[in-house]
Amino acid sequence: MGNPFPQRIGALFPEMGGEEPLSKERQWILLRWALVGVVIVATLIGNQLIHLKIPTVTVLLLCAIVVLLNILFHYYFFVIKKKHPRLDPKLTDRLTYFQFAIDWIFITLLFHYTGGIASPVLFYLLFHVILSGVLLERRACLLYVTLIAITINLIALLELGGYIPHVYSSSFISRDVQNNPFFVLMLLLFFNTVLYIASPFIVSLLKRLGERVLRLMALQHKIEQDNQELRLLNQVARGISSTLGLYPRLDFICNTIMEVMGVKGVAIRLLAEKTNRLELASACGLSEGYINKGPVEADKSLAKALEGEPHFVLDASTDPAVQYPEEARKEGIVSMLALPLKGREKVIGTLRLYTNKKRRFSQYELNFLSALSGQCAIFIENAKIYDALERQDKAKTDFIMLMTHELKGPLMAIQGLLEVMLKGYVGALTEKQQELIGRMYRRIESVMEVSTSLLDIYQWESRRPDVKWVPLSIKEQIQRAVDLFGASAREKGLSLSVALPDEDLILMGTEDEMEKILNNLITNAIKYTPKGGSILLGLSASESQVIVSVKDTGIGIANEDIPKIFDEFFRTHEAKKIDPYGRGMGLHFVKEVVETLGGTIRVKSNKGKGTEFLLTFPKS
Amino acid sequence: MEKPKVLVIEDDLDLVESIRITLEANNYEVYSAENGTEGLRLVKEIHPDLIILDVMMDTITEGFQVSYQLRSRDPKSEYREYSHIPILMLTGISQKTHMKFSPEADGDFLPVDEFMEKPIRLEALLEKVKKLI
Repeated sequence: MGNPFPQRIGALFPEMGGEEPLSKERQWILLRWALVGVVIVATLIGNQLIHLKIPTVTVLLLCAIVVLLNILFHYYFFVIKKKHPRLDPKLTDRLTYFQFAIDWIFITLLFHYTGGIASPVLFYLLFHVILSGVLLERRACLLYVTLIAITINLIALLELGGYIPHVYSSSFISRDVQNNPFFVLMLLLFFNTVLYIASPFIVSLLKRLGERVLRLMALQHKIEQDNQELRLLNQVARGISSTLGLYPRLDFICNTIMEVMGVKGVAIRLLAEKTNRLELASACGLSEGYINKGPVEADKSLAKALEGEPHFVLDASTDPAVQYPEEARKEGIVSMLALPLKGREKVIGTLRLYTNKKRRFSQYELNFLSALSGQCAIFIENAKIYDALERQDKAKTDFIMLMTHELKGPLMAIQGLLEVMLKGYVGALTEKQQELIGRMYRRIESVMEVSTSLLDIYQWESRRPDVKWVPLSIKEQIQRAVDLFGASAREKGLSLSVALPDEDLILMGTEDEMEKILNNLITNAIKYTPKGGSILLGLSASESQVIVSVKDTGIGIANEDIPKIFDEFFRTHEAKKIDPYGRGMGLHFVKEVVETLGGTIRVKSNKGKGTEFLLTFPKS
Repeated sequence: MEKPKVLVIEDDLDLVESIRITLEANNYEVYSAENGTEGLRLVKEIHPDLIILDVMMDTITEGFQVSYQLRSRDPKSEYREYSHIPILMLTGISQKTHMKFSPEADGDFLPVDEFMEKPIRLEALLEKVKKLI
């Protein structure tokens, strides 16, 4: 018969999922304490109360030996093994075999000294066998049960034949009965039947129960894993969709993976095709020294990842696939995993995980990380495209602004020259000349207005988001706007006046924004109010609001047009008649700026009589 | 009666021309310079009653530099005797910021008496000139 025990004693015990609080070997030691305790108490109580004649001294001596040995086992398995779990597996195996041998001898001797076939131990043995069935692997359990069965049967038969002395401890069963071969054989038959039929049955029941528990534990483990995965995905998704730039978002992703996977560090390196090197895009958990250790060559460092497969290295200090093994050792990196960042067409770089002890990644983790790195790659590609588009857009905007600006200089010069001709400073003009030059002047005027609107809008769109608001004196703002437009109004024969309260009112905003609002509204009022009309700027305040009004006696807006007046590029029929070249950008822009300042804009108008714009701002 | 002298320091010669015609038609004597250096030379030479100064000529800050030199508080400044001449500054189109100005050369404030944002209207310019002289 070969060695029935598997090579590693750990395999004797069915493997439990996850971390076990108490190994089977340790449970066995604890049960032994209980067993010895029960034997001592039962012996003393049995002898005293029901007048059994168990040889107390012998039994206690046996118990004492077992207690001494169990102290040794306890010390070894609970103290030494706890500190050094990987210590000498051979000794552990031998000690475990020794434990079974001790139990076997103890039980056999106990059976003999407590009365052989009439011993109450006979029945308690069944419990012991069932328990060992729960704790031991099937084959080991069968062997152990067989050993016990052989010795028990042997002792009972030897006692019956008188080859060894029979201890008559029982006061219930008479000596005749105990020496009756029929009684002894029948009892042994019952014992063996129960041992080999009932106990495996109970054991298998308990095992099935155990398996259920294991399955539940596995399910729980899976749920925890899924939960972790969801948490990571959620965090990464949040990171990706945040408003940060590309690199801060990559840092966030690295950090999240590091935390959730419990690794030492995470880095993202992107392939620079010209140099065939992997350039660092983001890293966390790694020292500056390690990050800047030198150029990372694409074909020397975890190269399999760039072919699209995860590249795993168990020991970075010895693996030839690691380009900087010495630096990795100094950094405390042991295992490394590189995952391909698969873009739409090719691998664009690698996502790297670094651990500070030997760690393998399960297929489950690999699948999950691969999916994550795929998302990451698409995100990086999108972000790069977006950045490139944004740069192009900015270049375009800058170009338009420059051109518009460049255009205004010459236009202004032409306008000036036309103006002196119109004024008659360089000689009298014929009526036709006057009309034609007037047309040129107005044509240039509308181009200038469009340019101003364009510049305003582009400047507004490219303004810095963190621009600081300051307290503004609205009276001062209105007065300045009126000063600026006074000459144009007078030139057109309009009265431009203000009705300001005594107290000054303060609004939060920027001068630039306020000026854009007022300039646009006043320009419109001047343009659309016929000669002889008037424009009135008003300011009033209620408990919580400041109201600025710009009222004119101009052409007005038809009722059906009022809802559309703030739409981009909308112009009323009447406005087109007065200025065919306007672009309808002004009021839309004004509304946007007013709303940025936390205000609202309304319009009241009577067609042919006049228009009033009312700006309402929260009082600061 | 001698006509008031206005010095226009501005590099857009067409704009200078329209300013010149407008001011001459309103009884001013107009001199012009294309850049700051020439402008400062003319200040000494003709001793104008008003300076119209463009902010941006060859360099973005040329106009500023001219105004700071004219209004310098340094007692050894060669322009000390000209520091009382009123300055009307024309700002560039792209520098639409509200520069604070004061007649004194004082810290953050631009040392000019008035300023106008381009595009300027000649009518409005004339009003300012009348006010300043």
